[in-house]
Amino acid sequence: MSSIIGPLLVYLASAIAVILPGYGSAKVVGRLGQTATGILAEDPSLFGRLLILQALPGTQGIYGLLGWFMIMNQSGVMSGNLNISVQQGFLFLLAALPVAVVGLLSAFHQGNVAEGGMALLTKQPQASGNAIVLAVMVETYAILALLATILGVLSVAV
Amino acid sequence: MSKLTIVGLHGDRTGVLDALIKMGGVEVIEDKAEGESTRSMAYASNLDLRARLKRAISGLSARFPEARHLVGKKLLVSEEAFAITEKDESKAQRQLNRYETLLREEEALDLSLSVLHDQAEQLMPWVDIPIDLTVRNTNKTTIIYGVFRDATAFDAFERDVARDLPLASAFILDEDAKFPAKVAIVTINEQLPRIRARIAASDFHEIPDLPFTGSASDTMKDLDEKVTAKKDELRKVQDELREIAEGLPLLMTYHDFLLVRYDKNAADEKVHATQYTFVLKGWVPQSDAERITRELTDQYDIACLVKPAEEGEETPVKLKNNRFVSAFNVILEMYGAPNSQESDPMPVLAPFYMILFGMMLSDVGYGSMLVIMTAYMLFKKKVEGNMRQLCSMLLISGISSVIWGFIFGGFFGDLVTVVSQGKANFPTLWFNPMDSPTQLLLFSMVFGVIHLFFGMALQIRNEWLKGNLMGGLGVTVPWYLIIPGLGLLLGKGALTSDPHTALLLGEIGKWLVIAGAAFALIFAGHGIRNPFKRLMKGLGALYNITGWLSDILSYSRILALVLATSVIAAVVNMLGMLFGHTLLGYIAFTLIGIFGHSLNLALSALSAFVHTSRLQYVELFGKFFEGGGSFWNPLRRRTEYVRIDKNTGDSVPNA
Repeated sequence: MSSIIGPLLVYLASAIAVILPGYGSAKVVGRLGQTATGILAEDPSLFGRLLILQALPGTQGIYGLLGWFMIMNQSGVMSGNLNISVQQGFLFLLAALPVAVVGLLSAFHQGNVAEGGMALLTKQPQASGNAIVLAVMVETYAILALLATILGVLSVAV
Repeated sequence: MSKLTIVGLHGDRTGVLDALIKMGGVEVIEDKAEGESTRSMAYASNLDLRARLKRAISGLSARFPEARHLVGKKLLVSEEAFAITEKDESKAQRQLNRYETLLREEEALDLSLSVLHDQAEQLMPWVDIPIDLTVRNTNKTTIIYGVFRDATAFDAFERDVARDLPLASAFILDEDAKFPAKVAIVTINEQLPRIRARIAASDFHEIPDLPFTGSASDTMKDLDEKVTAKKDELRKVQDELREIAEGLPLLMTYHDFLLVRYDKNAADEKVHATQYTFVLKGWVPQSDAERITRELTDQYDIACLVKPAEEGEETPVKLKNNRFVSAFNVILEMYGAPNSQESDPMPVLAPFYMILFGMMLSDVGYGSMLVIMTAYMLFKKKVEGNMRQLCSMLLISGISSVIWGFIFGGFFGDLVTVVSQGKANFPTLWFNPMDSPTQLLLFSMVFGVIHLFFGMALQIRNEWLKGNLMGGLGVTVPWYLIIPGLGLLLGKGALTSDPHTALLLGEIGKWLVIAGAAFALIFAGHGIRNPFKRLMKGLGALYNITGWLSDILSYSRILALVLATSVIAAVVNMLGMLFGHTLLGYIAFTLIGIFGHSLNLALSALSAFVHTSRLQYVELFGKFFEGGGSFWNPLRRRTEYVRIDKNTGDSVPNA
């Protein structure tokens, strides 16, 4: 019985690493897409700049996938190793938490900034650089969380 | 920057402005009290005309491929062609008006064609009925044509009619009497209202009200003729549009001519005028000042005065760098201009941008794709303006990515390993970040420290420019000592495996930190007399260590982005290989690879772009940048569709 719990925890860990940031990114990118279509109806020439702003909160989903890969790879599950102890499984689960939680929340907050940036573009199209940088400030914390997850995962001995 | 003042007579005012706009070397500054500005009707009509021209140009280029080709690139025109005369102007306006009329005509024709089409469609079922549909009544009777959907409705109708209205009758017109059937109902006029009422109650669709000219097929023929006529007209309209499209160069030139006129008028408003004279003030780069004043005074009876900016006076800034460095100007422009009293950040920003971007993307495959794409834009499509800068910047950064790709051993992730089934690996010059991420984390931060140290060097230079060299050294030197010292203290184990050397390094690190802290306590408060206050200032400066910590940690994003790029590439390769090493598998691999790697390139390049920018703006600029200046924006011929060939005609026009 205990032999199955370890691998299950690894799958759970990698799943929440993908699901939570992925959900956050999908929701926010979708909302930004709606905003962008509204703006495009007025000024189609803004498409490129709006696309970049829309894409920014999408990176959290990618970081989640990265976390998934690191966990699956480090645990050896990807190459068929199911010999994982319960303790190791829990460590992977905890290591997945930073990217999962911060990824989810930072996507929402970055989305708010990006939406503001889109509104800024309608008035000041040349300020797209500023709008991007302001949104990227939020992403820093998703990156730090990803780093914490990666280093945490790598420190689990399998 | 020097301040140029021109005093001249009213008669020369337009001429001087023309000359200035043509030379493009002076930024005219406002020399008027507030509220004096009057925006005339000419402004509004200029704006309106340009908007119309723009619509016409984009409309024509969307319609004709030749026109699109013409608009895609800036058109080279000679000086003579750009000097639009009144005749050209009225010709262009005529063309524009004609275009708009034709557009309206085309719309009307399209509408009537679709109406005719609808009518023909409605008439279609009646084509095989050879009855003259124009005849609808005699003196005493009326005929109603229509369609009964099904037999029950028709039978019920016929029964009712036979019972209640004996002087009416319904005839099925189709020979095979299949439902839905076309029916003619004949009735005497007195009973018409009752028949109508009965029809309304049954499933009967009366024949549409069309402009009949005989039997249905006759009418159809008639409609066809009308369609042909309309189509002929439409073709004529389109031919005429094509003719106008051939005159597109004039429209494009006229648009830019109006744009230049608009800018000139805007500059003209900034000129201070008295009853007989005008005074124009502007900023001109020191190196150009003499040439510009000479050219102006040669032609006009004006007085020019050039004097350098006063001490501490804020002037616009013009960056002076070589071609490599200025490719990255676009990054600074996105942030904002430095003020005129501080040093140019570009010489530090440019090389580090290249290095950091390259590290973040670090893949030979992706880097080459970026290089190929930007080179195509630069050398084949010959893009201009901001796009050109962006492309050259990405080209350089792409080359850097290729180099870092070799260093970290990345070619579309682990493509070589996957395809060769582990038999071959792409060579790695230094180390593979996937295998030793901690090492890269360390090096990312070391790079960060170097980056920030260059930023501090600029801070020293800024303070030196302000005549406060000692103050600048007081706040920077401590960190030049403390940060490496802390690095040695914390990282001594990683640097060497020999315990004696490690001990020695730790000792050196300790003393560096102590020396730095002492330096800060003594010199950070440079210029403050009160020793207690001075000490407090020093302590305050040391507290800044937290700022340093977060700045340096911020560079850990390099590791995260390097891993992101290579891991996603690895995932793409893994997905591609799901179908195994068969022919079909390789085909699937190619398809998935092209799609997946293109997507990853777009995402990773965007990430590298924004995060490198952030490291410059927040971490590097935080060390020295004051900003608040404005870029020198000379009065020049700002064109959108045409490029003026300076080699033709006079370099300075006659007023």
